[in-house]
Amino acid sequence: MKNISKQKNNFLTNSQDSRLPKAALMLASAAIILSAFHFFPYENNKFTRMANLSTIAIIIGSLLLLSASSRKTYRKKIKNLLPHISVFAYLLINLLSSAFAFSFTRALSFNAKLILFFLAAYLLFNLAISTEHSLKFIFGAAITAAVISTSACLLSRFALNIERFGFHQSPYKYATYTAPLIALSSSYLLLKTDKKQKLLAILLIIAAFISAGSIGLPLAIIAGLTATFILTNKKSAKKTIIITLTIGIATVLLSNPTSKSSPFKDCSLHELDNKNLKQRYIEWQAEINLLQKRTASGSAAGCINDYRSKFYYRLPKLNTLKTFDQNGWLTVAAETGILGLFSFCWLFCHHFKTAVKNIKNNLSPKTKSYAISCLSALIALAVANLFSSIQFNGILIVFVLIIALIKSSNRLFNEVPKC
Amino acid sequence: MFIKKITKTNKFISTRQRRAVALFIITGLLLSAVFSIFSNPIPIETPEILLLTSIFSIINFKAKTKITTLQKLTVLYLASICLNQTALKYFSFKLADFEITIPAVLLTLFLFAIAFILRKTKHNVTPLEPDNKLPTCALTLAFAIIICHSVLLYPMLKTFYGYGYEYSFKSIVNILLFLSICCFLWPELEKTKIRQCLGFLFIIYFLTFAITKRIL
Repeated sequence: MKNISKQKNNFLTNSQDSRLPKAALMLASAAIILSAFHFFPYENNKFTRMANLSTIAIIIGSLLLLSASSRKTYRKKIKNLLPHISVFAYLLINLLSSAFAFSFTRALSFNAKLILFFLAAYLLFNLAISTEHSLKFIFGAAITAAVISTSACLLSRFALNIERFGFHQSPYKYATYTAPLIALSSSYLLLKTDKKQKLLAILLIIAAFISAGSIGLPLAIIAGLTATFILTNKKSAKKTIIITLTIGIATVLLSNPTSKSSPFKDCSLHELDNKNLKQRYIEWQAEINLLQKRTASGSAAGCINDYRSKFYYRLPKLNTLKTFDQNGWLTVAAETGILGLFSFCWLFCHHFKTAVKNIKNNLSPKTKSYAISCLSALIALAVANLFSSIQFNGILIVFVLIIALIKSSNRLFNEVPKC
Repeated sequence: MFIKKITKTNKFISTRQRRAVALFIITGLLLSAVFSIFSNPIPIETPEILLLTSIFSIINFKAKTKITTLQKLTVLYLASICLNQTALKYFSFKLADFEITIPAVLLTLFLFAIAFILRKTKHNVTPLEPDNKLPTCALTLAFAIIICHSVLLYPMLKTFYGYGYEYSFKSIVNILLFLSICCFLWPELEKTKIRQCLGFLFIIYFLTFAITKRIL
């Protein structure tokens, strides 16, 4: 059996080389925790929405990486940490699709955001996770972000009676941000033997169910935790998952369905008049219709709003579409065409396979808990993407964090360290 | 001596076959290119980007694998764009009392299919490396997403508006056409010369677009 806890990465061969991963770990943790604050405190400012606190931490990290890459020894090491070819394929298709953009600057800024997160943030996270200790540290940061986001939402909705979801204004953005983080942290904590950690996981799940404003949040958590339930051998964890999910579902069912931000309204087929189809589904149809004419090119990355209304074929009678009420999978297809959807699916499939491989190869139950929670989070992410988009500003960091966690845990636990 | 002769014959067949495959594919794409220059259903706002990527696709890099896969994907994307221009154009002719309508893109696909069959029938074709195989699970997932959504939307639209499948069905058929393009073209792009020939074709094609757009 491998002694994984003693296993060290190449970066830690001497004290001078360990400075960069340590700095990366600090910046990565800061970026993850700060992402819970979303665009706070300057939500209405366009510039600060792009350069929010979390993004600033990533930019600093990328500058650090750039300066380090000027040294030959680091350049080789950083090259080994680059993402899988599917990530580059996805970025390439997004860049090419900007040739069809009605507004070139919008496509360009969307691509800049994708490159910053999929390359700079990915490298930063991957560089930060150089030992099992640092992996644990990043998991800690993710748990902190989940706790901040959920407790802020509970506070604003039930104590302060404000119609918002903590630091998030939209229930969809809150759901897409929180669901994968809750699945990741609660799976990780539930697979531990410590009772306090288990209690924290239970509280997190129930708090997420209570605070949900979109059906995507409970569904994504259920999907993620079902995966954990199937994959774990621990009977106590299985029992806790069943009990917690039952309590969670009961709280959603017992919540007031007439409330403005009830998840029931989000999943209903029709509008309040009981006559018209909910606009969410008309939007889905419009995105599929767009694919008939622009199958290869799409509407260009980040530019769906320039074209979507032309493809309704029958206009929605009640305009009840809330901002960010989209379907991430169809949005990718409509924006970047069928090859864009293919490369996005390739990215997902590759990381799913790697996560499964991590679980199969991990013999130690301690390291298996990391692998299971990563897969659980990826599944939650895929489900949450049905009700909103994981590529929105402020949410993309969670997606990148999960794929970086899968890749780095694969590197840490499955690869034989070089001498 | 006898063995040598056989190898020579095989080599001869392989070269001839390779040329035939390339010819079919290039003819198909050339037809689409000519079609789309005269009919332009999708506006290409910035053809210069596609022109630059066409140039990228023909470069011979020393470091292979990842960059080569990206070059292949670029050519596949550019070919799909070229074919997308013809996807909404139809040939119609009368046969007895029936008027038959065939999408123009099917003609190109037919030539691709011949090339694909020619490649598959011979034993001396080198198999694809595992890294260069088109990730089938990703393709399946991509098409499952579209088809599942369309099937899900059908009862909803039918119940509320009395219509449903017509547009989605057309979209699914169109997407399936593009699936065929991916399956036919991807293995052929393994050959550097085919990729470069197509790259040159796209350079001319997007250069034409860039110039005519400026004049207009």
